[in-house]
Amino acid sequence: MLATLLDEAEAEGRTRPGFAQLLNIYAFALLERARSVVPASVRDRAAALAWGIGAALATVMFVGTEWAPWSTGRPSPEAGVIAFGPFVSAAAVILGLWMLAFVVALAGRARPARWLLAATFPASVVLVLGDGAWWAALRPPSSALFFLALLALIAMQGSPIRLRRDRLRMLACLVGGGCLVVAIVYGQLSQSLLGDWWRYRTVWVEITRPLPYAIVLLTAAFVGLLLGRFAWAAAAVIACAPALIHIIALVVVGGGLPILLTVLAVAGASALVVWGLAVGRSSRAAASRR
Amino acid sequence: MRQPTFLVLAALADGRKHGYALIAEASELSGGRVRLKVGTLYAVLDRLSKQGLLEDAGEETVGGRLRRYYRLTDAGADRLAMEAARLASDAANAQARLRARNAAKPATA
Repeated sequence: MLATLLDEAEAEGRTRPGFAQLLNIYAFALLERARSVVPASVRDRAAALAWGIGAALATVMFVGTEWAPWSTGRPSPEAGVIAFGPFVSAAAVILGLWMLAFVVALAGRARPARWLLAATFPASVVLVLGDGAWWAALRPPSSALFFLALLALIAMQGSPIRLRRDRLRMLACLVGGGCLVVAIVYGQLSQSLLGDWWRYRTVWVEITRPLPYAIVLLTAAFVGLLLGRFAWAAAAVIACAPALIHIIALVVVGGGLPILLTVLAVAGASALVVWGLAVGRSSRAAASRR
Repeated sequence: MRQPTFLVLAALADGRKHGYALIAEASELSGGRVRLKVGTLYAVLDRLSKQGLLEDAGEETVGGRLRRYYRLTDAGADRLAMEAARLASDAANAQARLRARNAAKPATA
C-alpha cells in the first residue's frame, strides 16, 4: 500500500499527500480496524438498532416539536426568537435528513443513505456554532445532537439492505425504537409539552436523557444472552454506546458518579459475558471442525 | 456490483497487476472518469480476496518499493464476465428504447 501511495505521488508530482488522500486513508483505516474487531453479524444488528432508535427519535421530534401542526403558537420576532420557515428550528433539517436516510437505507441504497446521515454532522456543527452568533433561533441541546450523531455513526457501519429479512429487522428496530421514544414521552413528559415551543429545549433534554436508552438496551443485551442470541446481545451493547457516552458527559459536567459507575459496571459485565460466550462458542466450533 | 469493483476486476482481466497499475488502469478503462483512491482500492482488493474473486500473485521490489501483485481467480473471471454481460444487456436495452423513441418522433419539415 505504501509503495502504491509513493507511486501515485510520483506520478502526480507530489511530495506530500493531498487532503483527499489523507481523508480516504484515515476513513478506510478506521473502517477496517472496526470491521476486524466487530464481526459483520454484530455490526449489522447494531446498525439496525441505531437506525431504529435514531429514525424513531427523529420522527417523533420532527412531528412533535419541529412541525407540531396542532400547535397554534410559533416563535416570532416579537418574542425575540425566529422560526425556521414552518418549523420551530433549523434542527428540522437534521431530523428530515435522518428520516430520509432511513427510507433510502430501507430501499437498499446504502451509499446515499450514509451520505444523508453524514450530512447531519456538518448541519449539527453549523447549528451549534451559529447559536446566538448569526441568528436568534432555537436549537436542540448539543448533547442531543451529539447523541444523534453517535447513533448515525453506528448506523453507517451496517451492510446494505438486500434481503427481505434485513428490511424486516430494520423495521422491527424502528418499531422498537418508536415504542421506547413514545414510552419516554409518556413517562417523562407531559404530552402538552409537545408542540409548546416555549418548552422546546426541555422536551429535547427530557427525550434524550440517556438512562432509559441504556437500561432498555442493556436489558435487551441480557435477554439476548439468556436466549442464546449472542450477536443481538453484543449489538445491543454497541448500540448502547451513545447513551453511555452521554451519561459520562453528564457526569463530567454535573456529577452523578454512582449512576455512572452502575451503568458502566453493567455495560462492562455485559460486554465481558458476550465476549466470553462468543469466544467459547467459536472455540467449540473450531474444535468440532477438527 | 459497484463501479470501482467492476473496474478492478476488469483491470486484472489481462494479467496480474500491482496497486498503482490498477489505479492507472481503472482510470484508463473509465475514460478518466474514475480515479480510485488508495484506501478505496485496498478495501476493494481486500473484499474481493475474501470473496475468492482474486488472489495474491507474488511480490517484487522495484526501485526500493515492495509491490504486491494481484490476479483474477477463475471465479473472479466468471463474475466479471457475468457483470460485463449484464451491463452489455442493459446498454443494448437502453439503445433499443432510444431507437424506438427516435423512430416514434414525427418527422419535422
